[in-house]
Amino acid sequence: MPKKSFMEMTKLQRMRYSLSSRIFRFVILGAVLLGVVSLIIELSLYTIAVAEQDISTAFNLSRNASAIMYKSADIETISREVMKRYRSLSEEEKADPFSESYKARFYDLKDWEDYDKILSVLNDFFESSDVYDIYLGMYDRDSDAMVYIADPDSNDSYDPGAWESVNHKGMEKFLNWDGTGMLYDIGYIDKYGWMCTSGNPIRAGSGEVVCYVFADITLDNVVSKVWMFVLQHTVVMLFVLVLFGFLLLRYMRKTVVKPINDITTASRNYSADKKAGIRNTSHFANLKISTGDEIENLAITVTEMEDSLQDYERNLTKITAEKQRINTELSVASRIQADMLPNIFPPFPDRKEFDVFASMIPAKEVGGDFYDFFFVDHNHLAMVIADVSGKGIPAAMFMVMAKGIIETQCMSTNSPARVLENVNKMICAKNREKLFVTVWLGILDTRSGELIAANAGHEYPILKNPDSDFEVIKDKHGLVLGGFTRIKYTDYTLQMQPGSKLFVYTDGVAEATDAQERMFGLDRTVAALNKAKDESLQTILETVDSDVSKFVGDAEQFDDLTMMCIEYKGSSQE
Amino acid sequence: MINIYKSTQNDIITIKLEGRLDTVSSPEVQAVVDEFIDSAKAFVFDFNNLKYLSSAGLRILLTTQQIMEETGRPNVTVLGANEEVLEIFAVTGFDCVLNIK
Repeated sequence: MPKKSFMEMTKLQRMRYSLSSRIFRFVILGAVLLGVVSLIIELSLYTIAVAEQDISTAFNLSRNASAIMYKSADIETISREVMKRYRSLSEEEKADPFSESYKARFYDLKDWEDYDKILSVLNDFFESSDVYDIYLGMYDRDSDAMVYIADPDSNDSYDPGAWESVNHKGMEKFLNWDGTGMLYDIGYIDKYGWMCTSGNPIRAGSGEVVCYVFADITLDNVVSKVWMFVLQHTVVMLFVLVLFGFLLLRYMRKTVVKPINDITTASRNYSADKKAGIRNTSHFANLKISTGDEIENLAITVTEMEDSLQDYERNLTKITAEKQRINTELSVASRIQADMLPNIFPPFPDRKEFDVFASMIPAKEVGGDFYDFFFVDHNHLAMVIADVSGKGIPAAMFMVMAKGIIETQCMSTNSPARVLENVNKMICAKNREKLFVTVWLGILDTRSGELIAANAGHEYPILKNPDSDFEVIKDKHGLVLGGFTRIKYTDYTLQMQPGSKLFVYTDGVAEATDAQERMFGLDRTVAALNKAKDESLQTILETVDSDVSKFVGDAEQFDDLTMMCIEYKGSSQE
Repeated sequence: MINIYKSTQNDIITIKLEGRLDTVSSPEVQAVVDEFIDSAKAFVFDFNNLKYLSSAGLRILLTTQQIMEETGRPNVTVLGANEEVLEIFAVTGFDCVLNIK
């Protein structure tokens, strides 16, 4: 089962996995480990110290005893005698040192004066010290045995000549002693437990060792002392450990766990506030964390984050508001632009000589296309369709300027070519942004149906005469307006019959592009027109529009779609 | 999408275009023209591989021609334009001002 996240845990589990209890466990474990290690080291040092003390006691005891005995008794003779008798015995005779026959071989020695003296010295030492036994003995290397010479121990006394087998290695130490330091050997004997035997050699005049004064001390008291020490140490250590752990736990809770929990709570409240749409919160700023460490640093950082997020939010709100304002202005601009174009149809209900219909669908909110029609005088209707290069606000503003200039210039001459030349000069003079505009301008004499037109880089007009189809008129083109002041334009004349229809449009129609980047083109435009050639002007434009839409499909429309159609119906006088 | 190849010979800048010169790609081409507009003696636009030219592209040609004329170097040539592009030049009247070969 995967471990649950901290947030999903129950209170009990949280206590278990909390940072403070983890650190607590870790520290306790570490302290116990440290305690055990230090205990072992201390213990061994302590044991050595206690043992050394005991050993030195035993050593000094044996040395003092040997010094006193040396003076008061003839140790050499009795020692030599015991060893002589011992060595003279056969293996069988030596087999049982406690048998009466064996004892009998040495019995007379007990009556020696020196033996009594030795025994009394040893006894004095034995009585006045904690020594387990103090005795005189000699090691026989050949039989690897300790041969007793005098032993005052009343409980477990050995007669002279009694022997017992000993640890060869330990005895070698005694034999090879160079006289420096303390001479002792520690060993475990089933009968006595841990024992330390310390000794001092007694030498003959020749320097030869004749026997040793041995002092045995039991190390049992060392062991019991050590156990006591361990017990005390452990109790004290546990007490200190628990106290320390408890203090640490409290300290950790105060300086680590609580601040972190505070930050967590603040974060939770912060996001709850954000969800509820509350602004200007100060959850982190209200945190009172002054631990002076990384946690305080964290608190400061999140406080700064809260501040900068708030700044960001404010900015975003401002920017959003700004954007909304611009969007609103754009849509107002787009409405104004649309309102500048004549958009009430029929525009001149009392004029029966002609009918006109136009539409503009901008690709963006505002575009650079426009159409226009107005009376120059009572019998002359001017018609304009134009396309400003570029898009958006700049194109729209350029369009407004161009539209105004064209209308005023139309009032001064009846020749569209002259109008275009004048307009071109005026636009060139102010055209620092180097935009340009394509214009088709026609002036219709409503009495005769004669249409004089000029083309400044605009699409070919498409004309339908009565009883025939729409056909493209490849008229003479001049350069777009706004390029060069020197450009000349030429007028041409179209004679419209009653029932003639003229369709003008911008490149948004022919250059409408589908998802495969194919263009709608002039042929499809003419075909669409001819599908509805006998319908009303509005239906004709709607047919072209729907055909373009069908062709484009889901592809984005990049250009404005502007169309205008005029039908000449004949002079009202006729 | 447009690929632009430029080469210079005796201060005559040849800009070869492949693809569509429209609103999207025109700033790239404009940048290349701007790079040489002060130093060039003449501009040659190689349209052999140009598929489409929009009004944004026309504007580049027009402004180039305008600046070159204003500074007395009226030498902007268009090479190898396809029929559709030639048609655009004819419709917009650019054939009157540009040297089209």
